Amino acid sequence: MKNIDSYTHLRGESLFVDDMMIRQDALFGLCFDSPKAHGKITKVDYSKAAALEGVERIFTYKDILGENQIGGIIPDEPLWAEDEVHFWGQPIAFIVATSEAIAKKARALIEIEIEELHVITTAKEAKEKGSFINAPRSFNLGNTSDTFKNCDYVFEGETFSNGQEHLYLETQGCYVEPKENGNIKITSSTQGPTQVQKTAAKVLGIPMHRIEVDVIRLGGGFGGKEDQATPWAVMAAVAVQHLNKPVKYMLNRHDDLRMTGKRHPYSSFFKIGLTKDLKIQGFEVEFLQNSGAAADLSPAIAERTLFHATNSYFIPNVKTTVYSCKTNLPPNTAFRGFGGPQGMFVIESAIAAAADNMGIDKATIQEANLLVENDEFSYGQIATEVQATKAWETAKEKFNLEALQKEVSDYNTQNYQTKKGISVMPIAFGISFTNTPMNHARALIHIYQDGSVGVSTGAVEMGQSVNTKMLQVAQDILGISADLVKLESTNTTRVANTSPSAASSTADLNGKAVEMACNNLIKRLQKVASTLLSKNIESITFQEGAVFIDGYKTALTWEAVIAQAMLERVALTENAHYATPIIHFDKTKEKGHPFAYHVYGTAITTITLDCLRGTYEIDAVDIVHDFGKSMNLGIDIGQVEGALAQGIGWMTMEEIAYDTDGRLLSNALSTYKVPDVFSAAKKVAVVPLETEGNPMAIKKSKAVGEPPLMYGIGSYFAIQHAVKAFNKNHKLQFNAPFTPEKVLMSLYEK
Amino acid sequence: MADVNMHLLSSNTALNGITFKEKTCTIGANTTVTQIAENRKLQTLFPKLNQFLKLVSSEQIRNMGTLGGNFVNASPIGDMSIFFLGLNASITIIDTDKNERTLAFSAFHLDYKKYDLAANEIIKNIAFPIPSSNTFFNFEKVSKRTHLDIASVNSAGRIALQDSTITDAHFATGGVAAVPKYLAKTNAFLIGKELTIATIHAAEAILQSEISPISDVRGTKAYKRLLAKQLFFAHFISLFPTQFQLQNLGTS
Ligand SMILES: Cc1cc2nc3c(=O)[nH]c(=O)nc-3n(C[C@H](O)[C@H](O)[C@H](O)COP(=O)(O)OP(=O)(O)OC[C@H]3O[C@@H](n4cnc5c(N)ncnc54)[C@H](O)[C@@H]3O)c2cc1C
Repeated sequence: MKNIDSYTHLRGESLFVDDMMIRQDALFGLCFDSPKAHGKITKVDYSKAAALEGVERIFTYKDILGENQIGGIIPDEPLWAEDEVHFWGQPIAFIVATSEAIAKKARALIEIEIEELHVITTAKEAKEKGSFINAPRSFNLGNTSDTFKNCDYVFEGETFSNGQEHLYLETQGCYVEPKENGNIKITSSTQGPTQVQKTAAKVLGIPMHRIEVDVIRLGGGFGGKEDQATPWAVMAAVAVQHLNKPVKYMLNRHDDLRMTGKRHPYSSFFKIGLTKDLKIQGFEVEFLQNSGAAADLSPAIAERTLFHATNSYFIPNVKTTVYSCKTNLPPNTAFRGFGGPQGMFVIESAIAAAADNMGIDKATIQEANLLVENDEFSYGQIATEVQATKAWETAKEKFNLEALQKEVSDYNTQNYQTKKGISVMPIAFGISFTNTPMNHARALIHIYQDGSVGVSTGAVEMGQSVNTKMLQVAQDILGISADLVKLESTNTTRVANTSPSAASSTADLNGKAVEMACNNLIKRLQKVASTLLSKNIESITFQEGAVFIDGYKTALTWEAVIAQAMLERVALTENAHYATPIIHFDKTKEKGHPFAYHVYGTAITTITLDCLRGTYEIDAVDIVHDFGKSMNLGIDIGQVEGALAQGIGWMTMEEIAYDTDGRLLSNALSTYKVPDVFSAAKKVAVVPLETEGNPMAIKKSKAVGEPPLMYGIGSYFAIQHAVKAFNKNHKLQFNAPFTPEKVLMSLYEK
Repeated sequence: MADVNMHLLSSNTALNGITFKEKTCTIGANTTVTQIAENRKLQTLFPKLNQFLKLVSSEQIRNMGTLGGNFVNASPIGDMSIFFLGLNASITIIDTDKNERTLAFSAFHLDYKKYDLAANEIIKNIAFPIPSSNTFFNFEKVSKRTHLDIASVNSAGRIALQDSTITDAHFATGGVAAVPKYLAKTNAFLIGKELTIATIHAAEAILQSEISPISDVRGTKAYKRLLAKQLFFAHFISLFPTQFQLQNLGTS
């Protein structure tokens, strides 16, 4: 089945926040943000701005009737700064005017004086100065210090991976309308409608039931709208509370880039120990996460870094520690992979360093250490249904790895100006929110009396096609055609207390709830049909819009059963709640079984480097991916390809730059580059790994949102391989992204 | 913008057109990059024209962006500025009283975003001598992303040979100075020299003395210097591949 939005997307008819019909009296909001990264606000003069014709009012923290607090995990972030600012772009006030243009003009008229304080932009400096978000966390397995003594090889090194801008096509935005009796309706481009509702209630000082949040769909989120869609909606809601008029606020691209957080940059220090048989015996890492000026989701992201610090390898002795370092950057936030990619980059770097020092191929070490059944992860979970070796072997065979490697080395002997590089990137990514209490979802299903069906869940459609999957689940169980099923918007009044659409688990959690609700409805309808046909319940199934008896189609239609159910006053609405079984995690011991299952896969990346100009092209990425039993291969392959491109972007050209004053330099699309169609891999092959699938996954179809992003890490090491082929003097560096600049400097390093 | 009165240049047809007269090609300031790319005669004169211009912004921008806009935008890495500096072009400027003056394009950009244009003047056209059969032209651009990105460094160069003696040379490099840089000293040095590895190396040393890149979001100083060198070599490697390769030119 195609993505159910493809028709309207193609015709430009799909509705996003900015397409909403707004009330005639709607006003337009605009955030006034800090022009300095750290300091005391000594004076703000709004008088000129407020006097501008068309400016309705300018809101500050003084107008908040509830709490000036939007921090999710840790309450450490005000909606609007009071007397101090902690990052460049921190919201200070909210201008509401009769047009966006007037609001913009007014913003330029605000005068602010800030007594500047020392600005920290790097995690390293924050660590030195003891500036942290919370206490560090450590995962331990075995004993690394004893192990290193018995290793034949021990290597240490440092890595850096930069941040990444989400660059959702649709910028952050919302439209907020007053309803009667002080109730408020928020339409927001958010991955977390409940988060918006809860935070707005807290800031406005009203109960949650007074606030309705509705989400039609997002023009991309990638984690950037998990927590950081909230402040804009809350600002507009505060204005609506005071003005009793609708307020719309769409951020323009520059404001969005400047004010929102990104993927966390990490500085890390590793130590890896191997024995002669190439087994990794010990691995230590200290991760310094650049969290930005407030916690946001940083502690959870830090945790996931630890969960993925050993990628798809078994290492018997592991010691990993992560520090969430508080700096004066916008609070960094969730981004596809959620700290996992940053963890994996370090182990891959450590293996590359070891291989380089030992004079062997990186892939040899990788292959020798792949996870096998019943291996223990550093956090205590026992790996089961492990596909690491099978994925590796399949990739090796299907894509003829040895021939590719030979091709590359032959090419490199025969060519001077251009060189080729190759790398293999295995992945193992855990599925579930690592915070166990978040692993739940609900679905509300109405069968209308004409037999058509409406499905509401907590899942937010953001291009990942979760609605298509929900539709497939419902349609399959109810045995009706797709056009009888409609996916409703995600709305807090229909499905409440939801977890955000994140952690790759949206389809699993919400799909299981849809499955449960549909099964319950079917049970009732079987009874109705059984009476109508005088057949026993067990013999009845629903397929092809009709009732089947023992697998044979009858003349009784779905619509007739529904009509009869109405007459019999049978409930045609069902609400179901799903909570992932089995999973648990004890943070005091840092042990448990946090993941429902893991997703595996292997990618082979080949690149060609122009050693004259320092530029490169990704020739091919050949992937074997563990989809489980994919319920929609077209959509899932699309997810793999998109995630891969995003991973390649993170590793190659996407370069976030702040100056030492904490001002974002890569503040426009002219200076921040994501891969376009020409710089994506020239060939991407995705072969599904044949497996039984996992019953914890919806229809045994494994989560696919985040894991394939990490295939992109392979591009870094393929480039590194080619650079080394040209310049034997090059000392390996692990400093992502591997931009054309770093490539050229490495090619001509003396 | 919405509040200022605008005077639309695009309706001024006197600024359109690509003409070839005797030994000169003249291109109106309103000409878009696409119009240049699609011009048959220019394609014949520069067989790699399309390949060069594909590196300039994107199809949509090429369809809209004009030469006049690129020159007056005055970016030190403006692709069309570098392209025409490398062609040894001259520009004609016209004022509101229809007085015209012509100057070497290399004299147009004065300092960062400063150029020789009075308030009542606009650029009318740009002209360059049509290359003869012993003249060679090349354009190079490196950016973080190959397409729809602004160069870290770009470079263009035109060189004329009599046997193996350089009779004329016009190299220019962008992103290495406050203005799109016409490499006057390097060019002067090259004229009269034999086209050899030693000459190229000596010229490259002069090139380095002429440029003054700064570190910014498009790259560090050191990178831009290295890239200026590489792209200078790239001209010779691309134009005379049997004589010059990275092996013999680039590892010094
Ligand atoms: C997405 C994007 C990508 C880009 N990529 C590149 C790139 O890869 N390489 C590159 O070099 N540039 C690039 N640019 C810049 C762009 O190519 C130039 O700005 C463009 O050539 C400007 O042309 P225009 O006709 O749009 O000029 P406008 O923007 O309309 O004008 C620019 C200025 O020039 C003045 N002007 C225009 N014509 C004349 C004239 N005849 N006489 C006097 N003044 C005049 C205008 O008044 C204005 O001040 C890019 C721009 C964008 C938006």
